[in-house]
Amino acid sequence: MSMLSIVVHCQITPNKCDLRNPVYTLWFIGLDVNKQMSRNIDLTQELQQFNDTVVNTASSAVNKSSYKSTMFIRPSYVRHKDLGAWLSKEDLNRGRSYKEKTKQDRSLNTSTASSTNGSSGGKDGGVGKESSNTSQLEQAIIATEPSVVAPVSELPVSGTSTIPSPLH
Amino acid sequence: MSDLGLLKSPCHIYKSLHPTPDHGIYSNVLGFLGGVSWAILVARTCQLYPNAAPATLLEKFFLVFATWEWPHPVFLKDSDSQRADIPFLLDLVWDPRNRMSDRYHLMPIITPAFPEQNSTFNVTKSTRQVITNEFREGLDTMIRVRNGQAPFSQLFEEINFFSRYKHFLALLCATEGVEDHLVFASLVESKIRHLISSLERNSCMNLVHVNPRQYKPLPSVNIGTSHEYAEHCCPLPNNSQQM
Repeated sequence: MSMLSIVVHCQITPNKCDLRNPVYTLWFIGLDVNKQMSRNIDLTQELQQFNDTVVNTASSAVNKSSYKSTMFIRPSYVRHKDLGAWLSKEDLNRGRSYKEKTKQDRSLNTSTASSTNGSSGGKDGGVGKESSNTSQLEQAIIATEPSVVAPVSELPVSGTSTIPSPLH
Repeated sequence: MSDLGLLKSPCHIYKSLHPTPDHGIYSNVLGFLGGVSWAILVARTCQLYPNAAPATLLEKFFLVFATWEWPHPVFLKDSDSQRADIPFLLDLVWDPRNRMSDRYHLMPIITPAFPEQNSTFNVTKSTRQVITNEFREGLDTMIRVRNGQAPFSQLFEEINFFSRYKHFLALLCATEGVEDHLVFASLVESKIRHLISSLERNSCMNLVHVNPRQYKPLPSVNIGTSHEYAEHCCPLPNNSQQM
């Protein structure tokens, strides 16, 4: 079983190595990765572009006085199991854990399909909708189960099949 | 049934939606919804169900917006852009029929006073998806609350962000001193949504979700100021533009 790898090579100048009185802030971006597209994902370009944007804005004429070369961003890829090396247990374990019910529901690619499904309930705003909505949720749960084992070729088909369905 | 009497007024609904920071979807600057947008959504629900009890309103809130067909705009009232006394503000009115750039807004939630504007300018495809997912979760929870299968408190529980995903990007922002940090960290935060929208254009990404909560790294974290870091990343002192 091959591991998924995400590559982040960022050419951010680490020229100021020793910060006096350093202050840090961390943001985390959760990635839901489509493993069928590629096992090796290179995000270098996106992150380089981000870094350039920040540095260009910071060093632009307006902000020039406040920008110093001791300010920098360092992006890195962190696997879930390595998070403990970054954050305290308190930060890491706060809140209840997320129960993943419908993977299909969550991704961007199926968003159009799910919104067309929900369209019947969205317009009339009446009372009888909840029942149809719960059944939709149940359907969604049922529908994802086969797709977990479904081959790659079926995935786009399942996405497009919802579009002609109103015709029936 | 016992929990349904807890909410007293529509005002409470807005307040009760305020725990949404715990769900990681409350931040205008990062591309989620800010306070104004949330207030408009609550007001729209109250308009649709003027006589509903607050607990019902809360459920209908999730129902309406879990099934909303974005990018249909959320309006509280018809726009009355006939203000001849301040004509220079007319150009600011949100109107996708006349303004090309307004057609690309993904989740228009329009402010109800002249000049009417979209309060969710920063929303991207993936933040909209994250918000919609939360609406669906909320509706699901509310249905279970109504059937007595779950306590109301479940709706307000903080969800552990790190249990949602297996892969993360950590963005570390470092400066010298607190004053520098205030300036630089807010600049970095304001650009993160651009990173999100470029990451979501990558075909390998199903969903990109930035956590609005800011963290402090453990002191033991290799901050990247050591030579080990230099080995990983070849430094390009002056050639970054050639990239």
